[in-house]
Amino acid sequence: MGFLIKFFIRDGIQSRRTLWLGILGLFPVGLALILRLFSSPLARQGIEAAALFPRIGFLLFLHFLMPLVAVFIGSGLIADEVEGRTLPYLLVRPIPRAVLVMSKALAGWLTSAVILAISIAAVHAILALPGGLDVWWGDLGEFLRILGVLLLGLAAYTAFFGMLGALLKHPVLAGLLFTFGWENMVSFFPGNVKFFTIVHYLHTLFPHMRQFQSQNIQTQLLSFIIKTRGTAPALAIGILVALTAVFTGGMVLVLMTREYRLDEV
Amino acid sequence: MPIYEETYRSWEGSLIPRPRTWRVIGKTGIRLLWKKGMILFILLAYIPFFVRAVQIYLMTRFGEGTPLAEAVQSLKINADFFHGFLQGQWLYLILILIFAGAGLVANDRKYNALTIYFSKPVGFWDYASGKLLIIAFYGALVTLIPAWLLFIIKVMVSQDAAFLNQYYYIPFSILAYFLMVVASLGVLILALSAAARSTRSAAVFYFAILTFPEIIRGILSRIPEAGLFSLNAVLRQAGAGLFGVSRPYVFSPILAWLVLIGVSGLSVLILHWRVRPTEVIK
Repeated sequence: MGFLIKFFIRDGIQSRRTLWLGILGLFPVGLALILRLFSSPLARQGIEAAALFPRIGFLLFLHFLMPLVAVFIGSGLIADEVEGRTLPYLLVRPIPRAVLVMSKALAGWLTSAVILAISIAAVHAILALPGGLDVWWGDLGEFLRILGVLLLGLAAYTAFFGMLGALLKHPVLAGLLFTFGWENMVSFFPGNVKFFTIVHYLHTLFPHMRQFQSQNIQTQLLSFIIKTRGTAPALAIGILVALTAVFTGGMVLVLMTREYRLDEV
Repeated sequence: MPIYEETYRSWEGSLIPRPRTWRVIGKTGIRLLWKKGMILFILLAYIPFFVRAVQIYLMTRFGEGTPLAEAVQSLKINADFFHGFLQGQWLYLILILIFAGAGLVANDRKYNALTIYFSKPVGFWDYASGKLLIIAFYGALVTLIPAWLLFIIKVMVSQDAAFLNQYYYIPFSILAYFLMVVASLGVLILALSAAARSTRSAAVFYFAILTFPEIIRGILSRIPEAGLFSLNAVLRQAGAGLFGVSRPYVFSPILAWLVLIGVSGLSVLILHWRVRPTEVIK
């Protein structure tokens, strides 16, 4: 399995997909640089660049970059091989399909995790370091917690979109609709419906989550009427790990049971 | 005629100076996409239309003039209602543009079909217009057509012509908004499809380009000019002018129009640069 992971990582690094991923990862870094360059005019508007890190972590990484990277990587795990008509060559190798899928998923997760980690570490450094090493050190715990949440989420989303990629003809659209449609719509909604999202469990683990919750009067009124149970952090971690395992299992199952006919591609 | 006189004969027909090849490209693309199951996305995009249609009926028949309708502005059927409906179609429109447009040029480049296109009497503008027609058709199905239908429903369920007299310009505003969206978002997806070789990259990048600036706008909400980087905000601001409703942002609408023209111009340049009959393979 180790060899396979190394092989898929090497294969992934040489692909244009990783280049596009790297460019995506540069988006927040560019924003952090702009914030730092214009820190004085921003300060006059009452915006402290360093204090924006949790907000950037939440809006830009948790709700934008991480799911988008997962859609990009996850949906291509099986679909790329089908589109490139290389799946039969992989499947005829004397390797169990479960090992093949898990290696691909792990390699994809590792590649995107490194890009995501570099991106958020750069943003954190750009925003916090000008305040001094003490500020950077002081925020390190929060940074590591956000990074941990992102990596957990990345694993669950990558496996989920990988399963969609094995099942559907248009996994990217389905992934975008799920993440930016369904999850955005219900994750802040009171009641039990949010338990059917992945992002709810990430919200449970995200530091300072209260400041991002909706101040909308209608939502507050609904929260008052519909009592919502919270999720304990340990349970949220357990559910995320379980979801990753279930979706990876689903991917394996689809690959084992489905017949991919290349003339239909 | 003796066989020795059977020589080359000149063609005696008349040449059509500009055969409408763009229409052929467009119609073929529309048909192919329809067969790929586009109907499912379109049906999904029509859910808000049905909700709004019910709202129009209930408000026109029972709600108008009631204290509730006077108190809640969002229930009123006016120019804001139609502008709001088109804004609400944003996610569906983006997904349909991705579905329809992400592979339009990328697949032609991937399978070296551009050489085949340009070996026929097809120029760059024919090719680009044909592809844009596909996007415009599916874009119209989720914005222009339902918005026009809502307007017709409102006019038909109204008991007098007061609404029509007051808001007769709305169908033109809807049309102008639709053309603005196709000229900016439609050309942008074609440009990204031309820039990326894979459909997936084009789709993800298109989504990123539209979403990322909107998030920045959210983060820097205290700086109004940050909205100029967001195509969503720019379209809202320009669209508000078309519908004659209050502007949602404080930045100048002229700047919003300039941004839209800039995005369209840049997209056409990228398209022109990437769509070539022959490509040197390194």
